[in-house]
Amino acid sequence: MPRTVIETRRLRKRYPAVTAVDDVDLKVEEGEVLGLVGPNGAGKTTLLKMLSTLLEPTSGSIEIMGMDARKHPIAARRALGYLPDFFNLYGDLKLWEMLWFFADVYEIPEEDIERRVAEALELVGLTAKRDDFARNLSRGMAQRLGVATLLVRDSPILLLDEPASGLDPKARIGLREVLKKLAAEGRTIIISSHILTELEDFCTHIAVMGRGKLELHDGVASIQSGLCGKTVVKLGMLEKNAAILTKAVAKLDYAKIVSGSGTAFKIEIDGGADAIAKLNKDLVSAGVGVVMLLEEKSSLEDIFMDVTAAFDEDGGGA
Amino acid sequence: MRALLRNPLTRRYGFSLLRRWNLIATLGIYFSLLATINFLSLLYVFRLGGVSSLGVPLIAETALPWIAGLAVLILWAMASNAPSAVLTNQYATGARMFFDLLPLSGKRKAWGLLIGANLLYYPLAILTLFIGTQYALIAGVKLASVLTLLFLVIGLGAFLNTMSLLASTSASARMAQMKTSKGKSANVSPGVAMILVASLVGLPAMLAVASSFENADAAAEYAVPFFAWNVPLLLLLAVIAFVLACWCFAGAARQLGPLPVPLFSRFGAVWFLVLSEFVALGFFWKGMVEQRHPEQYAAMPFLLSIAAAFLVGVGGSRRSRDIYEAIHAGAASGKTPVRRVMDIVLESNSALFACLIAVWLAFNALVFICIGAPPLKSFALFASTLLFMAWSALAWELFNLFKVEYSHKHYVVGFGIALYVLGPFLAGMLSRDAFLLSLNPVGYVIVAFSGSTVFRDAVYAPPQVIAVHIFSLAVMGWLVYWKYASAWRSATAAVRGPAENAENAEGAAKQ
Repeated sequence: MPRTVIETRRLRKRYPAVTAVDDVDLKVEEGEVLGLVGPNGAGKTTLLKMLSTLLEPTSGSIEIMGMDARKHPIAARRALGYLPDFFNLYGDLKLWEMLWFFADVYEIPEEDIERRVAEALELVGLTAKRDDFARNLSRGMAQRLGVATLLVRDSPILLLDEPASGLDPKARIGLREVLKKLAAEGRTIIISSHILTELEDFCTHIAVMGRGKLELHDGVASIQSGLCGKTVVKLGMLEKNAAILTKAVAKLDYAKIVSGSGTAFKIEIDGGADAIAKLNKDLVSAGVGVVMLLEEKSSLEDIFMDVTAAFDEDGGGA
Repeated sequence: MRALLRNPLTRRYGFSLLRRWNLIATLGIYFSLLATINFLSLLYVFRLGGVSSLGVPLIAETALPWIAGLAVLILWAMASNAPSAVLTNQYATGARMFFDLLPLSGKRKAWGLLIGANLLYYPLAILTLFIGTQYALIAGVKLASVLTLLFLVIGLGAFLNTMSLLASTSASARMAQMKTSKGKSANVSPGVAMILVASLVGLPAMLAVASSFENADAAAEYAVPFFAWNVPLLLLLAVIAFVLACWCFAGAARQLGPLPVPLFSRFGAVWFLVLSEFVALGFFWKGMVEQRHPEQYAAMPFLLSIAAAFLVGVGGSRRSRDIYEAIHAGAASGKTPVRRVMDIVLESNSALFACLIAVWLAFNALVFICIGAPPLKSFALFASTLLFMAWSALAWELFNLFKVEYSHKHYVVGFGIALYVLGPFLAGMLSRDAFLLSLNPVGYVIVAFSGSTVFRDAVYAPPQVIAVHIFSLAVMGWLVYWKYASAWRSATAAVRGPAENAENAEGAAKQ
């Protein structure tokens, strides 16, 4: 059973005009790649800053690798790698010196540092810039250097705040590959991003925040196959006969028609693949001419729009 | 020790400071200055009548103040500026967050900054002091005097360097973003600026004082009374500077640590005050016991140590959010109410002030007894001062309890306290009315100490004045209690809330 590496209890950050993070209970397990999504001002950055120990919570607790982050901040920081959305690294250092410094701080054995620095630079595509000063890098390159500082150390937890912002498409693809590699190494990653299609690719879990609250936190597969254990299926019928279908579905306590007309309908059912098979059997035995029964997977963008629709109706996130 | 020497920050600054061209430029300027000093000294001796067999010591003697000046410039000014500039520069460039997140203890960060940022200046200062030592010996200064002067320069250097580092830990992002007239980042906090100015002003001041002595030996051997002994002044100052440097380093390490903590730990605050009292008494002791009116002499360390006690208390105060968090943690811990109250009282800033006042009282009462001060006059003096200190401690506690993040209520509280202190004080001063003046705690102490009223036969303490002060103490104490009680209630409600909800839910499920 994977162990919990991050756990927050009733975590709150209050500013005079707004509660940026409001009683968030979050549990992240080892190896989880959690995509943190939400509208602007939802509290994602504040949450990440508190997890990184950079910002003091107003109340609540944070445990990193089972340790109280406020009581053992140095050990917590050693376990964490945090990359903010906007940052400046030490401009007076060359790229290799910067990575050497971070490896040194995180107590990587001296004989391994040289190799790790070379590998990290290679992975983020900055080998040619090895001897350049950090102050001369473009925004995209600096972002990649930031990721490289996470690669040279052994921190098991990585917190990335909008790492792809400001990157061109090629750099984004490169970054995605690097993140996939880190995820494959078994590191626990929390990544906040607006580009949901990119998260879909390699996140194992998704958390949606709105107005400081954690609205949803679940595995990508279960979210996509239906919210809260429900599945939406597309039904194709042989002939237009809505009356038979309505009568057949009304008898089933685990299904209801969501929408549709003619020969195409959407039905919401409780459960997953087993429930689909059962629905097929029940409809056929009720005389419905089933020609297609297909599970409809929601994209993350659909889910995001669904969950955050309430905030938009209220005038946007906090 | 090994951990201190193997510091990633020192290595990091080694990368940026010890680049070839940086070294060439710095060493080039340094050796040019040295050559210029020697050349000018040589020229001066030539003009006096040529270099004879006595000329070499004369050249060394001529160059010595300049070499000493160069050492002081490097060690006091440049080496003080370097680590503090690093910190403020990190704010200005937006890299401070990475520094804050480094998984290093405050001690390692402070050490790494101090040594790392001075990787160029410390070797140059050592080299200059070594050259200066040689010149002093050639010029005929006694070895003991040379060592005393070296000890002083290094001690004051250590103090200024660490003090500057400590001052820069309070640099804020806004401060670092202040621009100079040329649009460059100022890179210096006001505290550090003052230290730099002081060290630059200190150089001519030191030369002026030194010139009043016949020679360097006379300056090094000049002794002052310290308790019953005569101690070389420079040596004593050097020792005090070293001790203060250790305190400043410890303070900087605490401030650079991973958690926001007060400048002084509780234990450290008490020790600092004990040490300050000891040093102040040492300087004044001989005067006290030899005076015809020792109590008048004793008033100086008495007053000085009031200020020390208050400043140390403020430096050791816990933030209100830590106090409130501790109250909430206590409520959730399941401790008995008596135990929780004990914890709150012991951890309060008032308890720290009580300890400091006790230290102050113990020292000064002992001194007054030892020097044979008149008991009644002494009692009156102590009573009025204690009242003032208790009032100040409560006022500070109250101000601090209202000083919550993003709230401005403490300004109102501070203004109210200032009004209470300044109103009757100014009215009393303007109307020259001692009664009006003594209606506020500060004025009361001033009246007790001022001119002819100090230690006079009849102590100025009408019952109305005492009643007003006791009333104001009670009001202040009640307000402090009210703030703690509110926090207690809110913490208890926060713990009871979820528990009650759970019980209600359980009850509903059973039904």
